[in-house]
Amino acid sequence: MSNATSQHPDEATLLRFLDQDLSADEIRDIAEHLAGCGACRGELAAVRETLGEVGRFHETVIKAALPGPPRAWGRPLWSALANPEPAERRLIGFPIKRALALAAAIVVAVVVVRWMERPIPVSAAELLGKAEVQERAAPNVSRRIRIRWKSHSWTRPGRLDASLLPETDAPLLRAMLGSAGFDWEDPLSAGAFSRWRKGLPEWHDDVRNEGGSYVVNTSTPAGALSEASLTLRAGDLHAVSATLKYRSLEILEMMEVPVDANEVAVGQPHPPVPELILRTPEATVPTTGAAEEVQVIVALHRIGADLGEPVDVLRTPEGIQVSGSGLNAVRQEQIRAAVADIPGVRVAFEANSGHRLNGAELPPRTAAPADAANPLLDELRAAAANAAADPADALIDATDRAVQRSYALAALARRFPQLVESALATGDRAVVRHTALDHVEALSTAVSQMTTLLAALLPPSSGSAVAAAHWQQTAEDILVAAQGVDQELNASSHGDLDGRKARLATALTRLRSLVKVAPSQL
Amino acid sequence: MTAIEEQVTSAFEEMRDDVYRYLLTLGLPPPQAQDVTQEVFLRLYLALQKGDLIQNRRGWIFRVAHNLGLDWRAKERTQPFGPDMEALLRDARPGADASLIERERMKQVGDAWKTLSAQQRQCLYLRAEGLKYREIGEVLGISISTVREFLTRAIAKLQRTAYE
Repeated sequence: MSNATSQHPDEATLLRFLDQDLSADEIRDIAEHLAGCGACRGELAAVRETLGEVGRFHETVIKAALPGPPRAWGRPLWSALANPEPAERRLIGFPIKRALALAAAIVVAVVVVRWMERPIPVSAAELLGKAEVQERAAPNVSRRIRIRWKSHSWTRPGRLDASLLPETDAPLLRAMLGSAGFDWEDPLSAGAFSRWRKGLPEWHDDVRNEGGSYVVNTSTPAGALSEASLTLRAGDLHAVSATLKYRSLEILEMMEVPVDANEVAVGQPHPPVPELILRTPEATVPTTGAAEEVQVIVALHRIGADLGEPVDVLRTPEGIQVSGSGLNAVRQEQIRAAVADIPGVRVAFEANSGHRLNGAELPPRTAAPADAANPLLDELRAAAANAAADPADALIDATDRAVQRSYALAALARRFPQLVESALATGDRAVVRHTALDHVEALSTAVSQMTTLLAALLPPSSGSAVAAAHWQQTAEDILVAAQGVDQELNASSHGDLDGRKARLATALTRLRSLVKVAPSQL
Repeated sequence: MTAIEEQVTSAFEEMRDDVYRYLLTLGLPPPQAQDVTQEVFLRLYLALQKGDLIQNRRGWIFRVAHNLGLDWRAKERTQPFGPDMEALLRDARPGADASLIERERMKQVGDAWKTLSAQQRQCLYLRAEGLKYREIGEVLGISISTVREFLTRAIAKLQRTAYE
């Protein structure tokens, strides 16, 4: 474009001009040309207009049409590596860490003393070396292992064929293992443990003999893991379990599980929540349908369709009927796909019937008018004037999540009241409770965020909730408490602020203690 | 919070939805797109921890998302997520507050958009997400001149529809 002053720039150049994808000289040349050429200015305006349309199309059509994330974002995954719960860390994390370190030191000391008392003739390196030779000589290809981290669990073939991947939890677990420096292909093995250990600049080994097994424990001051242990069967040095302790105090466990005869085929990926969906034979009798209903509820839960979406599940003599209204085509497709493998399920979507069932008839949530003045939120903003993020936004967001989960939990409790639940097969009951627990965990996160955000504003409040007889009742109590918090938080500006704060503090304390009680009932 | 943690936190809060949506356009189902998004920021954290210098964070994040997304798709044998963008667009329309003319125009853009190649669409998408041509090329693994070519043709095509 060196002669741009005399030549008319083409469309490609005008686009690059607008996108600043040209050298300074070229830009100057074109600007000079444009100054004296009305035709090119017209052309430039046309390109600019098209770019504007593309931008609007991107924002208002494409992005708007893509479904939102199925779950709340919650805590970012990486922060699990960096630190434990932020709120606790700030308040009491340091003493706890110290206490844990001290406790760990005592444990290590005891272990070391015991180890010294025992005449174990093998070193960790020797043991691992022998075990690796065994693994190579007799690879056990058909075994299955379970990997667990927090609420994530995945059962998979011990040695993973790279083409068989992944499931919902797999990327998280893979990332956790990867960050620790453990193989993904064959993580529960002496080989994987050894490779991790050899990569450490500094480490301390400890070998114990426990009930017919060797336990190799390696601790290190470097890397994502503070320590890891591997249990080897004494007879053939076969790796049966491993525990990885992250510096963030989180724990990832791997263990060998029996190969189940009911499984589709060895080496195939599992269906979702495999260890929970395995049912007793009588539960699969088609006349009952309860097992299928549980499966449908869980499948919808997995894609987040139980969080306030207009989706209804009805058990009829002909099978399970899933219906919904006002959902876009993508969401309809997702829902169809989620329940596609469950026998006897019919899916039907209405164009627009406008009413929302969500598994149980629940009262609609009342939202405060968005523009109403809210002195409570103003005070919160003022108290944190120099914070990067708006605490009021964070509070509203956390409250929304809490209310949403409370509704979902109550809907689940109403769908499976105590009597219905007790008639379910053990596996199905476990699935229902697992789902409920998932809601409770999300609630707990939201509530602790609300507590932290409001800590400076609210008067102290004591009292604890009396545990209901069963989780279904607790779920109802939680819903009432969450609605109470929501109401006090969003109340209009009238009324005395101190009274409102006191009521909010009481409601929040009640909600917190109910959420704390709930897991013990699940 | 350390400086690195602060950087990753702000990147996460600022970009997680953009990354998530981009992964959807690559064909990942929403739950997986959300998981892979988490993994992208885990990678960012680990890279910064390791002392990697990241010149352009936004471009880097999209590149990692793109690669992880394609990895996932390559391993996953099921159909890509969604009845693809065509069906998605059938259902989508600008909000009710948009004028009749605007809605008509967006429909025209949508029609023209359907005739673009997948790579042209990806270039447009990433450009609208604020990436420079060089970064788009890095994300998609194509040369900067190819990016220019794709964008010029795409814009020309969209422009033509305005006068039809």
